[in-house]
Amino acid sequence: MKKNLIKKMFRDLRFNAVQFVSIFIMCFLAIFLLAGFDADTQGRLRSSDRYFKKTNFFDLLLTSEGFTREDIDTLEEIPEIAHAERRTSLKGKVTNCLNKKIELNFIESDEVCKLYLMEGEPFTAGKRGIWIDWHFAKVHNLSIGDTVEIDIDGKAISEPVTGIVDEPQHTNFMIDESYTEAQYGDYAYAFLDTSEYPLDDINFETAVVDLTTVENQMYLTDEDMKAFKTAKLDILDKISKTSMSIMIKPEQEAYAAQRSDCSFNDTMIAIFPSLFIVLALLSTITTMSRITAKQRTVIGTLKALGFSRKTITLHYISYTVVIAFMGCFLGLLAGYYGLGEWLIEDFYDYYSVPGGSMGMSYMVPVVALSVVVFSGVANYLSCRRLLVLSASTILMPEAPKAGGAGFIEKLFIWKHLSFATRWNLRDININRFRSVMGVFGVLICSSILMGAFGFDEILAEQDDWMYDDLRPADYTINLSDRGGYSWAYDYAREYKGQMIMTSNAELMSRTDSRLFTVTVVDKGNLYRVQNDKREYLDIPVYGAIISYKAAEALNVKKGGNISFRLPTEKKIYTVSVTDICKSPDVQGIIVSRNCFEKMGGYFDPQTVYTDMTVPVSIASDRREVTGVINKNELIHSLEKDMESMNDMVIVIIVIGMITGFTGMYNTGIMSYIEKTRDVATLKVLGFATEKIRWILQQQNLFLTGAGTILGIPVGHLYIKYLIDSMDPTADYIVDLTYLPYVKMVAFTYGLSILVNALISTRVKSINMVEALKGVE
Amino acid sequence: MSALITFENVGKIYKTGSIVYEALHDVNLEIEEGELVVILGPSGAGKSTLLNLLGGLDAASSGKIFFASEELTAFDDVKLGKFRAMDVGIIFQFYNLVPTLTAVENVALMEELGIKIMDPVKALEMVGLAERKNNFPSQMSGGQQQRVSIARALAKQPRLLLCDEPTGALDTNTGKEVLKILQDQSRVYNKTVVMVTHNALFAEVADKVIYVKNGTVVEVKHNDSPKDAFDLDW
Ligand SMILES: Nc1ncnc2c1ncn2[C@@H]1O[C@H](COP(=O)(O)OP(=O)(O)OP(=O)(O)O)[C@@H](O)[C@H]1O
Ligand SMILES: [Mg+2]
Repeated sequence: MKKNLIKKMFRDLRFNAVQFVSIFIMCFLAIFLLAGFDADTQGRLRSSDRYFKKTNFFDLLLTSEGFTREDIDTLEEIPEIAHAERRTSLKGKVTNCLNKKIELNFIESDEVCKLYLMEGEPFTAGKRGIWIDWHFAKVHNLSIGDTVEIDIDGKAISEPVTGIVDEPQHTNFMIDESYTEAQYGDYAYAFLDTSEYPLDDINFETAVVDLTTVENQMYLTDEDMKAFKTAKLDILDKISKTSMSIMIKPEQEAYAAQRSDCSFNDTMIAIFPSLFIVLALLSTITTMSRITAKQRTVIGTLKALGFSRKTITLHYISYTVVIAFMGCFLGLLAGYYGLGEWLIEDFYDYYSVPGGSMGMSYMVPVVALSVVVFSGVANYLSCRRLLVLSASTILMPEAPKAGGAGFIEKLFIWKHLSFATRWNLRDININRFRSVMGVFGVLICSSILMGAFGFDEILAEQDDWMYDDLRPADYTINLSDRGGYSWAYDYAREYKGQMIMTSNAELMSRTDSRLFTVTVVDKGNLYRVQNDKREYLDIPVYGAIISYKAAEALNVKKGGNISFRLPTEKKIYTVSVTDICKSPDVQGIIVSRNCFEKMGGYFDPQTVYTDMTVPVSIASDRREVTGVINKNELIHSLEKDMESMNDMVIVIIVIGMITGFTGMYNTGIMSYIEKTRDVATLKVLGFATEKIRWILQQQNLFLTGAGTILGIPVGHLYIKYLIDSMDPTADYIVDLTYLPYVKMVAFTYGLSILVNALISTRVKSINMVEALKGVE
Repeated sequence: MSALITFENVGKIYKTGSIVYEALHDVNLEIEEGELVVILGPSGAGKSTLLNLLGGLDAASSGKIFFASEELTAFDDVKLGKFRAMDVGIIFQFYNLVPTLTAVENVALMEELGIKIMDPVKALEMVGLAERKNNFPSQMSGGQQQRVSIARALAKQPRLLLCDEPTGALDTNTGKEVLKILQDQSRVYNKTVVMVTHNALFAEVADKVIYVKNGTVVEVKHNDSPKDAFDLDW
C-alpha cells in the first residue's frame, strides 16, 4: 500500500516536473546565497577576530605632534589602560628590490598590535634587524638573514631580515593614494627597533593603547563602545596635549571597511534569500493546490478506500518536503563550498588576515530547516481544505464562484467597457487573493529590475560625476606630508594649479562627534562641489559646506554650526554650515582657504590639481612629490573598481528575471487552472483560440501594470538599502533618468507577456469535453 | 446526400497511457433538417461521445462526419470554432455558464463572436427569464441556469441544437418546460435538435430515436406521431 503511494508520488513529481524543479531551484538559490554570503561574513569576522585577539589589536589610536616617555607612563597609570606603546614611521624605497616603496615602523616594544611572526625571531627591544611583511618577502624572495637596502630621503640604511611578519594595523594597507586597492607585495611594510631610526630626532606621532575593559575584537558590544568613550575622556583628562586626537578601534579604516563589506553581505542575505524563500513557498502553495484540486477524486477515492487522513496528508506533504530538503541541502553545500569559498578568496586578496578560514553561523542550517518545515506547512495548508472533508463531499463538484466587480459597475463607464474587460475586472475582483499573488509575482521581478537598472545608472554616472563635474583636473600632484606650504605653492605656480589640503579631523556638532575629513580649498576651478541635484555650490568665503553623510551622522542642518579639530593641533575651529553637498568619496566638510586662514589655521596642502601636463617622472625624481596621477588613470582605476559592481548588477538582473519568471509562471498557472472551465466554455461557444488568449493576456497586462507601478518605490528602497550598505565614505546621487524605468518596464512586460503566452498555449489544446464535465 | 447530418463508419478511440478504449465503432446514421432526435442508451454506451463529435468538441478517430454536405472531420481548429459559433448551439447537463457574467451578458456573449443574434433580453423572454436578466448564475436555480444556457444557444438561431442530458439536473416540471422549449425549436422553427438522455420516456416526443449500446448504433426508430412534451407521464 505505502509502496504504491510512493510510486504515485514519483509519478506526480514527474508529471509536474516544471513546478517541482522551480521549487527546487528557489530553495537551492535561497540557501546557496545565504550560505555563501554567510560563509564570507562569518569567515571574515571570525578570522579577523582571531587574528586581532592573537596580535592584541589596539583599542585606541592616539595621534599628536609627539609623545614623550612621560606621556606613555601617564597613560599606563590610567587604570583601564593595560598597555600603551608609541610608534613612528618613515617612508622610503627598497633599493635592492626594484626601488619599491616601503613603510618603516619604529617600535619600542611589542605588546599592542603585536607582530604576527611567520618566520624568524620574535621582536625584542634593542635588537637590530628588520621584520618585513610576508607578502613582500614572498614576491622578492627574501628570507631570514638576507639584507635589505633602504633609502630614506637620501639616507641609506641596510638591515638584515630578522623576521617575516604581518601586523594587524595593515589588514588593508595601501602605501599611498596611487593605489585604490591593496596590492600586496608591490610595496612593503616593515618594523624596526627605535634604535635603528636613521634620522636625527625621533618623534613618536602615534601611540597604540590596549584597554583592560575591552576584550572583544570584531564583536564589539555597547559596553565596549561605552568603555571607549570613558577611556577617551580619561585620557583627555590626564594628558594635557590638546593637539591630540583619539581614534577608536571601529574607526580604523581597514576595520571599518571590513564591517561595511559585511553589512553589504547582510544586505544580500536580507534581500535575495528571503525573496527566493517567499517564491519557493508561493510555488509550493500553487503547485500543491493545483495537484490536490486535480486529484480531488483521487483523494476522495483514497479516503473511501479507507486510507487514514494522516496517511493521505503525509503522502501529499512528502512531495514538497522531499524537494525542499534536496534544494536546501544541495544549496547549503554549493553555497558554502562554492560561493563562500569564492567570496572569501576575493577577501583574502584585498585583506591581509593570516590564518583566515571560512565560517558558518547557526542561522544557515536553521533557515534551511525552516524552509523545509515551512514548505511542509504551506503544502499542508494548501491541501488541508480538501483533506479534512469527508469522502462523499470531496466527490461532489465544487460550485463556481461568482459576483460582480464591486463599485466599478456602478460607474457610468461600465456600460461602455467591452465584454472582455468586464469579465476580467470581475474575475480579478472575485479572485482577489489570486490577483494579489499575481501582482506580487510581478512586483518581485519589477522591483529587483528597478533596483538593478537604477543602481547601474548611478554607477555609470559616478565617473562622469567625479571626473567631469567635481575633479576635472587633468593631473593631480601629491606631495609628501612633511612639505609644508612653500612646496605646494611652487608647484601650484609652476603648473597653474589649485592647492587642496585634506586632513582627518574630529568633527563636532552639538550632539555628536565623529572622525571625518576636512578639505581646505584654495582659489580655483578644479575642485568643485555639488548638491544632491547636481547643481554647483560656491565654496563660501566664510563658512563651510558639509557633505550629506556627515551632516546626517552629526545631525547638522544648513545654518547650524560645526566645530572641528585637526589631529596635530589643539585649536578648535567653529564655522557655520552654509550648504549641504553630495560627495562621492570623501565625507566631512569643505572650507575655503580664506575662511580657514581667517580662523587662524595653517594652510598645508598635499595636493595640487592642474590642467597642464605634468611629467610623471617628477614623482621619482623629486623627494617631495609622492605621486603624479593622470585623470585617465583615475578613471581607469575607478572603472576597474566598478567592474565587479557591474558584474553584481548583471547577477542581480539575472536573479530578478529568474525570480520574476518563477513568480509569474506559478501565479499564472494557478490563475489559468482556475479559469480552465471558463476558457473551455468560451471555446465550446466558438471563440477562437487567439481571441481567448488575448482576453487572458489583457488581465495579465493589467496585473503586470499594477506590479510594475508598485515595483518603482520598492526598487528605490532596494537602491537606498544597497547604497547604505556600501563603503561609508562613498556616496551616490540618486537622480535617475527615464532610462532605468523604461528598461524595467520593458523587461518586466516582456517577461510577463512571454510567460502568459507560454501558459496560454494551453488554450489551443484544452480538452473541452474533459473541462466541461461536471465532476472529474 | 439530402440529410443535414451524416455519420459514415465513425469510430472513436481513447488512449490513456497504454490503455486503449474504443468508445465508438462503425457508427452510421443520418439526421434530417428540422428533426428532433433523441439518443438513448445505457451509461457508458458512447452517447456523449457521439454528441461531442457532432459538435466538433472532439475529433473522431476514424470515419467521416458531414454537416450540410461539408466534411466536419476534415475541419481544422479555426473552422471548427467557426462551425460551433455559427451553426451549433450546445446545452450541457451542467449548464456551463460563465460565472462572472450575468444572465443577459451570458447570452450577449455571442455578440463577441461577431455573429448576429437576436436581442438577448428577447432570448431570455423565450425561456421565461426576462426578469432575472441581471442575476449572476450563482444567484439562480439549476433550472433557471439551464434556461439561460438554452437562451444563449437559441439567441443566435443555429441550425443545430445539441443537448447532453439537458434535464438531468432538473425536477419533473422544470424538465418538461425545458423539453417543451426544445421541441418547439424543432416544430415551430424547423431547427434540428439532437438530445442525449438515458430517460427512455423521451423517446415519445422524438421524431427519431437512436439507440446506442457498447459504442455502436443498435437501432433507429421513426416516430410518426410524437407526443407533446407536456403530455409526458414523467
Ligand atoms: N477521455 C476519456 N478517456 C478514456 N475513456 C473515455 C473518455 N471519455 C469517455 N470514455 C469512455 O468512453 C465510453 C463512452 O463514454 P460516454 O461519456 O460517451 O458515455 P455515455 O454514453 O455518455 O454515458 P453516460 O450516460 O454515463 O453519460 C465510456 O466507457 C467511457 O469510460
Ligand atoms: Mg454522457
